[in-house]
Amino acid sequence: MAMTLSHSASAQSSFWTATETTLRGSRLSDLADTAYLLPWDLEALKMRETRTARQWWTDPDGRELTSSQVLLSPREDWMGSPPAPAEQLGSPPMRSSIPPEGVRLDKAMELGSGWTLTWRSTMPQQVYSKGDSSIAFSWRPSGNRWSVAAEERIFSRSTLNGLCMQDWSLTERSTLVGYGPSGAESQPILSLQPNPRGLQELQVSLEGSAGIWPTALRCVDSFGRLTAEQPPQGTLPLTWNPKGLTSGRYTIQIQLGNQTYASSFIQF
Amino acid sequence: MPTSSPRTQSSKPIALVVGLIAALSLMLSYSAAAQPCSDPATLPSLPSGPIAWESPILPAPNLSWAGKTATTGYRILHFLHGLGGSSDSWNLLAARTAFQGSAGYPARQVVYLNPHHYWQNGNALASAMDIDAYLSSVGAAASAAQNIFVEDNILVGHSYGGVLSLLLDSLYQHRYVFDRQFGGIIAFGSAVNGAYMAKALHPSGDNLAVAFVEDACITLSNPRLWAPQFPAMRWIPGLDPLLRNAVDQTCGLGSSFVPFALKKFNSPGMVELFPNAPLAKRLGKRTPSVPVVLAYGVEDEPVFWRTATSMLATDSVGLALASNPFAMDADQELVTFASQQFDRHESQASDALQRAQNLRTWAWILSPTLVGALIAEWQAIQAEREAAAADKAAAWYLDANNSYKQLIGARRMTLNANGFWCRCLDDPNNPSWFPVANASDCLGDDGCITIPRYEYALVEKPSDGVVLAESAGQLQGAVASILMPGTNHQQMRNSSTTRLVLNRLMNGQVAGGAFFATPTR
Repeated sequence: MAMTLSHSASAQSSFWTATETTLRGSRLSDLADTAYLLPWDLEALKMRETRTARQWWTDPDGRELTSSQVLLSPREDWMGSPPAPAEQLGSPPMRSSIPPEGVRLDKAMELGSGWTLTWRSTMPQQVYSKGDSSIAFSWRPSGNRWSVAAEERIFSRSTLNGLCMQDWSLTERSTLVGYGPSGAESQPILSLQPNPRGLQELQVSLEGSAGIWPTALRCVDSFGRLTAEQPPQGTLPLTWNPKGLTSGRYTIQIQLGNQTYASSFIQF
Repeated sequence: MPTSSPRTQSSKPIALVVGLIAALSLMLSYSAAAQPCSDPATLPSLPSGPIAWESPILPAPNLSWAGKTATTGYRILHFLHGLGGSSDSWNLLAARTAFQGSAGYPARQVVYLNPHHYWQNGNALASAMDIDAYLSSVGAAASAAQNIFVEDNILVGHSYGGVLSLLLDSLYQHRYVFDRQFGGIIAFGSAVNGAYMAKALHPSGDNLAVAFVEDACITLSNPRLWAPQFPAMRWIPGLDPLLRNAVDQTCGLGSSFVPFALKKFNSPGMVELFPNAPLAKRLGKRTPSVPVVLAYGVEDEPVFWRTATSMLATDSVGLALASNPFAMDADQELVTFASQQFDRHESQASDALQRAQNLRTWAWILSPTLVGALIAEWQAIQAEREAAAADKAAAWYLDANNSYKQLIGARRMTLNANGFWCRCLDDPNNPSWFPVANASDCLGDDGCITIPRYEYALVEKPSDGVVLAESAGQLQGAVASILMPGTNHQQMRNSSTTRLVLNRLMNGQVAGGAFFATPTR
């Protein structure tokens, strides 16, 4: 009979995670223009995809930090491995309400240097614009808050030979999963299948966070002693077969940035 | 009453004409270079398949020269430099070949002559005539003094030097004008079938060398990138004055790294290397009158950064070359540099975007005090623009290799229209994108838009970073075409692969190339 043991996560006052997919490239107004494109402008037309797993958390000093881990990069083979992710100050793109209080919808606010900010009424979107350039943030409900679902950036420019191009990027973000200072809103749950386990492989998944690449995967016994460890081998969900375990209770830990998630299972 | 002079009287119509010309020029330049930039409709292109790789089709080795051998014990190797080179391009290798040798490279029975520096201010014929004058005077006299039959001597040419060697061979058909001064040719990286790059870069061709460095300067010297640190200035030694001027004009004096290294790219001789130029078309199809061995390089990726490293290093590895003329194998330095710059700018873009996000959070918190919120929003825009500049700089480091390969003809990218994207906002939180064949297939209400969809196809060719393998390795009637793997145009004069090629040739180990066998001392 299957037996599910309690889930535990390391204590943080807040923790959020999401997968961000960014498409970017230059674009132009007319196909005929490509005949006149210079080599570097032609190369710039290629669509590039970047995918990162991003986390935001509050450290013991109360600072909001963020770090991201590259899952898919446009790097060429000759560039070698990407650098290790680094932490920086940063809060998640969440608000308890949008637009901010006192803001009138569909009214452009002057920000200086020709840039304006408009909150749209047709959809939950804030748009910065200047001429043909714009930065648009699309919001969506996330629990009892709002979070940024998509960011589209367009910066217009002219090529050396006078053609009109735009540097375009679109970032789409998965639903934020995590919890805030006020408690669990959509707390990540590490699940193990099957549990109890015989000789089968374990499937390790973090609900709502498919595509995130853990930095470590460990198995410890009931005394906390390391019994098996596996370097990161891909994105969640993962399959794993910690071999040679005697019968008993074990805990699988996965590391996401500085976050550790654990869930226990019974080994028959 | 003063009267106006005839000159004064005629100045008004002249001013009118000048004004009209100026107005027309402005209108023309506006229509050519300042088209409306509103509402671009395309999306970036999608890859349509793997890169098609076009390897050169090499002619069969010509073994008809197998019976030709040197007739006297000693010979002279006349080393010829390439465009922008001089006597010291080859002299260290030439000296070691004649005496002392170096590790793995025994000295041969060769009489040393200082490699000739030929004039490069005219066309190929002028340079060839200069070389012939040297060969028939200094070379012939030295041969006579050493009792060497001049037709036992060999021309060893790098790049343009090899092209001139073949041109000289063709000139020697005119026996009433010339006396043949050599009996064989070894050509390293010589564009005997023309150089695509010559046409792309030369001011008389597509004139893209200046545009390439200007684009680099505009992208990499964006003031928004200056903080927190700007890449160290790195000049390529001997940058052509025209390029240096472009850099100074666009980047500002001494402000930026310019990864472009060609010297004499705009010399008159380059015009004759255009692939469709008469000389290039003729030399590549002419069967030479003497044994010819072609050595062609195929550089590893990234071709551009490796070639630039070798060109940058040419002057700085002088000490190493002094003890070992084959010490130019290393070509990783700028590869690492480019990767680091890509990572640095990616990181800068990521940091700036997060900073913008933090500022927008502050703006939201401060919204009751509107002025403070607007200031935070404006600062967020500045951070966004820094991110855009950093993103573009990172893309430049990512793309420079491919852009450069387009310039030298090693990469061809074509765009093909393939229907439309249909983008529907029926779910505002999750816009859908799907391809359709016709714009009318995008069935939707007001929430759907159609956007032309393109795919691109890529064809790549092996090269040494300057000359395509298909140009440097293909010559009907050549004894052999020898591949120099992992070797770029600059390295092939002084790399360990050069040593292998020369040893094989002078050991008589190349089929049909007995003539090149030269005993060790």
